[in-house]
Amino acid sequence: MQNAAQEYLRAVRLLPPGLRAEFLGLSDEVVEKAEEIRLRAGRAPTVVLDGGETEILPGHTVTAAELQLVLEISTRASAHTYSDSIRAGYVTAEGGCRLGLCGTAVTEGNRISGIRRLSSVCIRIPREKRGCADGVFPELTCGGFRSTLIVSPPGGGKTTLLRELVRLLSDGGKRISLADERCEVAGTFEGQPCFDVGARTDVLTGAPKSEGVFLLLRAMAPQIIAFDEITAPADIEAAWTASNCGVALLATAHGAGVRDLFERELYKKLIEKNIFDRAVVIENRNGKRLYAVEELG
Amino acid sequence: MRIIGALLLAVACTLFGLGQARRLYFHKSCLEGFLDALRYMDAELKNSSEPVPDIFGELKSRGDWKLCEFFRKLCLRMENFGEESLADIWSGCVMEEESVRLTPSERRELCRVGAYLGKFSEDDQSEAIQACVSHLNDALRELSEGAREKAKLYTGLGITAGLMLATVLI
Repeated sequence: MQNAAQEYLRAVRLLPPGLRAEFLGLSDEVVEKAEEIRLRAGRAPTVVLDGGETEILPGHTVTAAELQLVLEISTRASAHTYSDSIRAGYVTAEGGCRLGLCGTAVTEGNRISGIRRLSSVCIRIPREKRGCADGVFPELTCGGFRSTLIVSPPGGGKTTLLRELVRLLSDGGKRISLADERCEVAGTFEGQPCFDVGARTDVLTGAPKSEGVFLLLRAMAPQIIAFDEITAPADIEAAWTASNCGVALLATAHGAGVRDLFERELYKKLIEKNIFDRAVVIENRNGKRLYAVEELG
Repeated sequence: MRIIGALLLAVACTLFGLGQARRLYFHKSCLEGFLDALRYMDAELKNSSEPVPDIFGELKSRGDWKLCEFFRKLCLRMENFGEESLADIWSGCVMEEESVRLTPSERRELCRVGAYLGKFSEDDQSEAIQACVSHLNDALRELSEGAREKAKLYTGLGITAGLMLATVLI
C-alpha cells in the first residue's frame, strides 16, 4: 500500500494545486488501484480503475489553463526541452509518469511539429509490482533464459511485467541493457532510475529503439536486451540483428494474444523470423491479471 | 547654534541631491543588469536549450553581479513551483522586488517575458525576450542621454539649495 501510495503521489504531484488537493482526498482504493488519471477540458476528471474509466470529482470541471499547468509542471517549466516528445504526443515526467497529450496539432507540411491548446491529458501511473512475475519467472528461466515477447492489449500491464522481469533477471546475474525510449520502464529522471531495474542493468533513455539497440550492442556487451513496445518495422529489424548477435531479447507488443499477432502484418514478420522463442500473454480477467507462457515457432 | 543648524541644513540638502543622482545611476545599472540577464537567457535557450530553472540558477551564481539578489529570491520562490506557475513566480518577483530600481512600464515589459518562458519553443521565447530587450534598450538609451547632466543637476541643486537655506538662516 505504501508503495502504491507513493506511485500515486508521484502522478498527483503533476496536477495544479486545487486539483491536487482533491485527488489527495480520494479513497484508498483509488490510491492503490488507479492506473491513469484522465483530464479533459470542460469535463470532470476521471481515473482508470481495473480497466474501466470512472468519473470522480463530479463537482470539478477541468479548465484548459489547468491542462496547460499540468504540462508546465511536468516539463519543469521548460517545454522546449521536451519538444521532440511533445511532437510525438507525450511527455515523461519525474517518476516515469507518462502524460499523453491531445489538443490542436501544429503542422509543418504533413508533419506534426507541436501541440497547442491542450484539450486532454492522460497521466499514466507507473506501478512497480514486485512479485507479479513470480508465476512465470521459473518457467522462463528453466534451461536458461530465451528471447521472450510479452503480449497484451494497451494498458494490460506489459511494462510492469517487463520491469519486474528485467529486475529479476538482472539480480539473478544477467547483464541487461534496457532501451527505455520513453523513460517509462526505469522511470529515469535526471539520470537516476526511479524504479528498481536490477543491479546489472544499464539503461539507455531517449534513443529510438531501432538505434538504441545497436548502440547498446556496441557499447555495453549485454547478455539480454530489453525494450518496450515493438511498434515499427525498424524495431523488428533491430531485434532481428540483435538476435543474430547471440543476445537474448525481452520485449513487449500490443495484442490480445499470440494468434492476434499472426493476423497483423507487422508482428507476423516478427513471428516468422523466429526472433522470439516464447511469449507471455497477459489476460485481464475481472480486474485480475493472468499470465500464460506460450512457446513460439 | 544657528551656524550649526545652517551647516546641517546645507549638508542634508547636498546629501539629498547626491542621493537623487545615485538613484539615477542605480536605475541605469539595473536596466543594464536586466539586459545582460535577458541576453544570457536568450543565448542559453537558443544554443543549449537549457531548462529555465537551470538558467535562473546560473544567473543567481554569477559572482559580484548586481542582480544576484533578484535571482537569488527568484530561485527561492521557484522552490514553490507547482503551487504557482512560472509566469506568476517571475512576475511576482519582477513587480515586488525592491532591490532593483525600474519604472512600472519597465517592470510590465519584463513580466510579459514570463508569460512565454518555458511554455513555447526556443524561437518563440527568444522573440519575446528580444522584444523586451528592445524596449529596455530604448529606456536605457533615454536614461543614459540625460543621466550625467541630470546627476550633475541634482547634485548642484542640492548643494545650492543647502547653501541658500543656510544663508537665509544665518
